[in-house]
Amino acid sequence: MGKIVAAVVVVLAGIALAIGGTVALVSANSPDRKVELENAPAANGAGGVVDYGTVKR
Amino acid sequence: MRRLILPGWSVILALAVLFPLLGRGFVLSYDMVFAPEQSLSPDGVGAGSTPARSVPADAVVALLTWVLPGDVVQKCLLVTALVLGPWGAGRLVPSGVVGTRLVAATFYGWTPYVAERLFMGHWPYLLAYACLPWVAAAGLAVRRGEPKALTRLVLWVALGALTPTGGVLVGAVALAGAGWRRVVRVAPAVVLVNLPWVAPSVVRAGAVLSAPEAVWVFAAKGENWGGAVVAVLGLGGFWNADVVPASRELSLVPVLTVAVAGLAVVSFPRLGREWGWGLVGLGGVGLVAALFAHLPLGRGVLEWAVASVPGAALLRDAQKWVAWWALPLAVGVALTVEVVGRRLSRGRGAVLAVAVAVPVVAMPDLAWAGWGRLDVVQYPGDWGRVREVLSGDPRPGDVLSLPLGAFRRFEWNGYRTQLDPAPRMLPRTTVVDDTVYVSGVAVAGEDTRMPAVRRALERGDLGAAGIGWVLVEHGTPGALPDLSGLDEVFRGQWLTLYRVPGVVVVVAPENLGVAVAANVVGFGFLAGCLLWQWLPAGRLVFHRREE
Repeated sequence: MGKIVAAVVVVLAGIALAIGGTVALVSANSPDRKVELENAPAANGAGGVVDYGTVKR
Repeated sequence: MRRLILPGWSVILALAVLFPLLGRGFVLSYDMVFAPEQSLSPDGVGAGSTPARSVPADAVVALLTWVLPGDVVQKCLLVTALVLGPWGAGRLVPSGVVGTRLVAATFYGWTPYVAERLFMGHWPYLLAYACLPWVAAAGLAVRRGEPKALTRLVLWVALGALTPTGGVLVGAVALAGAGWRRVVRVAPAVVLVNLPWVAPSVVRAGAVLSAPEAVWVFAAKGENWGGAVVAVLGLGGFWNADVVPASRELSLVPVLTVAVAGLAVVSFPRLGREWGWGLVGLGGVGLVAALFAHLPLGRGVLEWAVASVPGAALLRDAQKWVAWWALPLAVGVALTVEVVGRRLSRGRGAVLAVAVAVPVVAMPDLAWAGWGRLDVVQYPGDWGRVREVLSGDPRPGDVLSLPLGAFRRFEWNGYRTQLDPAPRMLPRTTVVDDTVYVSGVAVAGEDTRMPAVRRALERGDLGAAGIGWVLVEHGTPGALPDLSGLDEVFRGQWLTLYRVPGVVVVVAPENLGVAVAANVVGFGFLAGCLLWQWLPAGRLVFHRREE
């Protein structure tokens, strides 16, 4: 029983590593958001609102 | 030396997140706004026209910023929250094995709940979350009849009860930990500590009702194919997709979540024997409460409640209640891993080390301030100059902040969404339109004064609504009305301050006496508990009772 649960823990670690690794790789290859925002215009007085958040799902 | 391992690991976990934010300056993200010297306003003690949502947190921060700079206060609170949580969870494990404690600490301190609430700026929730294991430990001590346990419980409850949500979170854990036999002693203490927000909410002229559509907008949401149930089971599922770490959206996350929950459940019988079933049961209640809107009839019941029952607005953003689930989850996983380790002839240390690493490796995008998601910024000098103008002018009247809307996106803060800092920055009561927009859809606010102010703004008669000043914040989205009838007294790159000409009606705070009395009673009770804890008087009385 102990070995089975230990194996589960190790598999979980593998899954965690896969998740973390994927995020790290994707993040490393994404464009620098700061560079895009440097040229973003200030929009006060131009209408619109600031969203508190986004519900995507 | 062994005693330092757990607190040391907790500090490492906290610094892994907060280290980039420890320089001078402010972290301004969504609901988290601190000011260099926060004003003690009627709203801060529950005597304003807005619900007592940040009471007594605002008053406490205001008092702290009289002693320390606001950014230092902010960092102290954040570090305290992120260190206390894992440390307390590790201490709560009914086992002397250090590795087991470290597993519990990591599973409690490195969670989607912590990440999402931190990115959302819900620092009082984080503080309450961090206090839960300490409250549970004190509650269990009360159950065992240990000396001075009740005062220790009150002090931990007080640290977590800086907002209504925090008060409910820690209060329920206090009751569950102490057990129903001690409810007569614990419940009144919990109510007294929460009096600063309870009393103003009860006597408030307008009932605190909420827009029913807010229930579904702020309900727990899925993060991937696992849906809301699995997301909440893994302590995630926050409604705002913008603050969900990218790692939570991957397909493997539900597998990991279900497996971790399964490991925790294996140890629930042992936890039930060690703690009693109160804390484990409360974890289940947290899951159900967080998912209530997803249950049959749940959404309808909640929509009716928030729109009809005063105070039920507290049930919005229901995912926050999953904090109760975090304790049995983290401690249960740790105990299961410990049992596994004992049965292995070799590789015990490796299994423990792997288990400690799982939460961090699975959600690396909490580290380093969310990989740069949060940053430290300075307020532009305009804010200080406007504050000086308002402090030095004896003319009465409150301030109206424009553009109308609760949130801002400034270039100087990297265009991050942040709460309007004006109410905390300025030395006068500042009226902000608390309508919030989610995916462009308006959710009505709850400030009872705002409709009259809006009408006065349209009529050009702000003085009649008690507004003596108008602050226009530049560089953030939002339309401005015609302000040609106002007198400009300051203009800067980021702010313009106008004086409202003519007579200004003075609007008195609502129920200020009740609010002040509630705070005096609440803080007086705390002071008494502190004295009881530290002075010999408590020991003497206890000894006499023992005899």
